[in-house]
Amino acid sequence: MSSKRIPRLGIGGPVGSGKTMLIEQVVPRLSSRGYRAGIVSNDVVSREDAERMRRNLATERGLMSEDLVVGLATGGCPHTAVREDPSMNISVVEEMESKHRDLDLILIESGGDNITTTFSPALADYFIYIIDVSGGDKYPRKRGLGIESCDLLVINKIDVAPYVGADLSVMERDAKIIRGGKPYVFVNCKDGQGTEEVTEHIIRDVLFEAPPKVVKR
Amino acid sequence: MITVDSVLGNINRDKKLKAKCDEMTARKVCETIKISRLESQRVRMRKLSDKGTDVALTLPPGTWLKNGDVIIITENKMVVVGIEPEDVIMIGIRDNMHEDDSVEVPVRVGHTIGNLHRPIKLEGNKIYFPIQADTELEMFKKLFEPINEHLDIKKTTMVFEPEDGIEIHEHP
Repeated sequence: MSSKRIPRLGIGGPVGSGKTMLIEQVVPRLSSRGYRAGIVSNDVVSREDAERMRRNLATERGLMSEDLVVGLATGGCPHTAVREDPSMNISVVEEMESKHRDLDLILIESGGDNITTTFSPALADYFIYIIDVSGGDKYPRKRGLGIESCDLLVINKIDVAPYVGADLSVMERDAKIIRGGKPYVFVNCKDGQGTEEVTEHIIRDVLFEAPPKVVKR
Repeated sequence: MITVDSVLGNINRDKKLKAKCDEMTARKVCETIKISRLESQRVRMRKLSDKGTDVALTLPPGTWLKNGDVIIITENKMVVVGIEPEDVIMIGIRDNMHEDDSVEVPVRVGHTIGNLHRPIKLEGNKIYFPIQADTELEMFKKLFEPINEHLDIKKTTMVFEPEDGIEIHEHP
């Protein structure tokens, strides 16, 4: 039954743009509303991000069980594991789905990669692309498949904009033009600014505002 | 919000549905949901129609939405999926090949397009594939230089629906 498939959210973006920190902001916000999420974190060679999220969200804060954070070391070109051949990710997601039927959402974090990262529609139902201001305010204008085709563009680290000479109004103007009406959000994942808005987008457009599933014990 | 869990038919393949669609369009109760080609393979998404109907799609895994798919039909409402047109390059093969070109030209064309990971649409002696930027036209013209005299290459816009089975790189 299609309606029973757990909604899947893909989060992609360049190395160091804040994918992991965005998840660390969004999962507790979803959790406070009763939504339970699982996480699949792709990395090229290490599983550092997965281990950090497991420690932060599961071990220390108890927001999820430890087996709900899975690290995948993809090797090679990381974007291929979420776009061209997502079979490894799909099998991990399906395994999580079968073990944890009461999850409301599965997040899939891509390994840090280039501007052409997108998620295969077979893997993710919704795609957030995250960039940060330190690459300069030209970033949205330069376009790329990720920035153009994602469902939600997140622009992170707005707190450092003055120090790197990035003009947020330029980024906003360009994002509007390039995205053709599709949403974008400015955030600071360090203090959480803007991440409530990201959470609201997820609840509306991925979860379709459905109430959290009742957990059977 | 209306939840849709299956495709009911397609107005380009079903004459009765097309007639129904024409009739409902005349009554101004036919609506369109515009999606991109990349979204056409999604099975879960929330979209607004051009008349503001809020639709949540939860389709069976593996569903591939086509231009003209009907997803809602009631007495007073019909909702049809429209794939947004996109920029493509059209390559026309000219009718001027010598016998010894008959391998080189099609193989070079196929290899070059495949090597850049593009899906294709075939129509008679024309090949279409999507591009993201106008500058790609120059790039492809350069790549095809050795067989230039046999090709017409130009940019155009179309609702691009790739050939079944030779769409590249996606393993559902």
